[in-house]
Amino acid sequence: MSSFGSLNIAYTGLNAHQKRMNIIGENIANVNTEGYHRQRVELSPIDTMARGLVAGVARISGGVEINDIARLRDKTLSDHARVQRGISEARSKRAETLQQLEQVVGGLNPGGLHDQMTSLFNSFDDLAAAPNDPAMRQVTLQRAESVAEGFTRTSIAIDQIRDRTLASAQDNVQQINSLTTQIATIDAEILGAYSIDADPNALMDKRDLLVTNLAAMAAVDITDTSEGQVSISLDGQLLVSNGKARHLTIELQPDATLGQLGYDRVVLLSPNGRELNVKGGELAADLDALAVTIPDGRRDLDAVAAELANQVNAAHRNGVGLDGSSGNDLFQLGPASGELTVSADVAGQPDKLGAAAAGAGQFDNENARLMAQLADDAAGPLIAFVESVGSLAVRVSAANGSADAARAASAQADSLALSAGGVSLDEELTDLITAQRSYEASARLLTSMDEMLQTLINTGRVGR
Amino acid sequence: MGLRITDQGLANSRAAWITEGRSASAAAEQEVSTGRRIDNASDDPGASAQLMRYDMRLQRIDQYQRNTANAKLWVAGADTALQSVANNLTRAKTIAVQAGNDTLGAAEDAALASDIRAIASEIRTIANSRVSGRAIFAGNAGTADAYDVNGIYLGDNGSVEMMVDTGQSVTVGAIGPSVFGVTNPGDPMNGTVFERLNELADAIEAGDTNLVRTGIEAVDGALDMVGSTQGQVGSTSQALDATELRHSGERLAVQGSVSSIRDVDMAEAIVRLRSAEAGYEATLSATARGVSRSLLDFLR
Repeated sequence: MSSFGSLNIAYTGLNAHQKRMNIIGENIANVNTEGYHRQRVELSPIDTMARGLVAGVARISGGVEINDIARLRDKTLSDHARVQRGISEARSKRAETLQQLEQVVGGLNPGGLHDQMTSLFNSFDDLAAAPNDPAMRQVTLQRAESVAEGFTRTSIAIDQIRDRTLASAQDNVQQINSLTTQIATIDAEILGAYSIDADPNALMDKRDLLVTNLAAMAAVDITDTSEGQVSISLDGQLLVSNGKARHLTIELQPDATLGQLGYDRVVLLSPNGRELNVKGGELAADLDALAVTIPDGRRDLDAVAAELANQVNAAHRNGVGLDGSSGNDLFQLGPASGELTVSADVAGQPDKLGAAAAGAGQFDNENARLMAQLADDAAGPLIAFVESVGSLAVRVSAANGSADAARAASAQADSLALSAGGVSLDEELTDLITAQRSYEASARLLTSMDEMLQTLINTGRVGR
Repeated sequence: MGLRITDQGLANSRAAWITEGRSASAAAEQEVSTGRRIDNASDDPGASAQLMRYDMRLQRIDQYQRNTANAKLWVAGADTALQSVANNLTRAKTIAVQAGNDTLGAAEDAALASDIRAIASEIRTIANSRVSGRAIFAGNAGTADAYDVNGIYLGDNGSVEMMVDTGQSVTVGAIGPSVFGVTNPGDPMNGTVFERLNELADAIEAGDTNLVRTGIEAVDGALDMVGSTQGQVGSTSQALDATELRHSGERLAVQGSVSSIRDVDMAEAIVRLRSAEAGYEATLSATARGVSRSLLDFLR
């Protein structure tokens, strides 16, 4: 072994431990950086039989070399966290939409639809007490108007939820497109870094954070390529590959069933115009709300309005007004979808309210009494409303529960992924101490070698 | 190697614990300050469906209470009118008996006859009594008066009914013919009380004691008719009182159920609030201690 070989060993040690301290410094600096994964210097002994480190030095030299700067990230855990995050976002959004529907439809709010309907039925009873009283007829007609307005207003409020959800879906698609563009750009940079053998870890962290944000918006399939790039696809269609992004679009298509509500079908289209099916993420919840949840909410409300209009009209048509007219409707469904108004048969004509039974006296109240009894009917419109609100409440409550569960699962998955890739200051400080001591020891080795060589040189002078 | 604890993970967990503690104590605080357990139907879907039904029933009970009050108004109106008719008929009978017993002069007979005619007209006015603008004794006919100036019945045979509870209607008042009679040739009961009284007045004026006696019997018959209608009205009135009592009883019971479903048990809610606050404070102080600890504190 050469005398200078030992100096080289000390030199490799100094170099390696210096690098370790640099990386520890980077880890500590990024302790709170979102998406940062801790790095570690991978060291290995120099294979003395294979090659020397410094040219011209004998083969048997030894020391330590830096193999790699590893990015400690558990792919399985990270992927799991991403999927959970997408599920959690989708369920939270779904619960949010259902909560909005519940707020709008009400049920327990004083002055809500059930209060307005009950008031109308109560005023039929008041009408029965004084069918001859024009003021009472006017009151009954006004109550009918406010019930009709209540239903129309609620239906418009549901349409507004739909508008907001559609805007959110379009916004999400825009963000997805912007994210895939950014991911593709970074991927191109990563490829460049590889070709010049530079460290791509920071770029990959940045890219992975964008991918995580993307997965929160739509459940995408992610494949890692050999050069550290990713290939991202949605429902089998490529969004990002080879450093290029392809964009999604949202399209409104006329649809027979949804058209009855005045709605369009909202479809997500791939770059080549194929319709896509999203499974998780906020966008999935938006599209599901637009296709199912919100139309169902509107249909439930419309069904109650139809129940009210049909039952009251059927009863009212049997009645005879003060003016002797009969066969009049009290309510009119439409003309626009979700609209309820007081029928032109009686609007502004309180005398046409059919309080009397056919063939009875002008001041008879039998029909008014019968209409009021609809309030207590187990198959009446009030109970139909209670049942509709009840079934919505069950769905909201279930959606809240599953959103909470998904949030907890997502937090759990996040903490697992963080426990693999996150920075622990205590750990870094401990590493720092060992790196520092190793550096000091290597320096000490250098000093010893120097002293030893000096001794040797002096001895030589004596022996001459 | 066990689960690594990382600083970011710990920070996330701490933030989550604090948020959780804060929202738990906020929810407990809301329960205590609003006194309500259920704000949205989804807070407890089963209970809120019941709550809505009870809520609607309460509003219906309010309405049925109002209907009952209206029915009582009618019954009281009919009762007052009938009592006053009975008083008038009794007075007519006293006058007729007086006219039949004595050998009075023509001038005195004429005065008594005029009294009877005045009573007949008084009864006709009473027969047109109204409740909230409607003639009580005219059935369901769209007429302002039950009898016109000639004593002809203008009403119909429809009975006035009010709903005092689900599926339960009550007939209030009575139709004119059952109290005052009706002009119906061929019927042995043909003739109104007004006609009978005018016939009686004629008989008194003519001094025909036989016809006066017949007239007295007719007045007795009319008193019987009024009496039996008064009995019906009286029993309706009692039934309405009973209904009123039942309504207020049911109202209390339903309100009790609503309160037991919707309202919080204050003592329990306050205990929950205290424990939620204690938990929150404990989380805060544990976090405050934990945050300052790292190996740095122990290195020179």
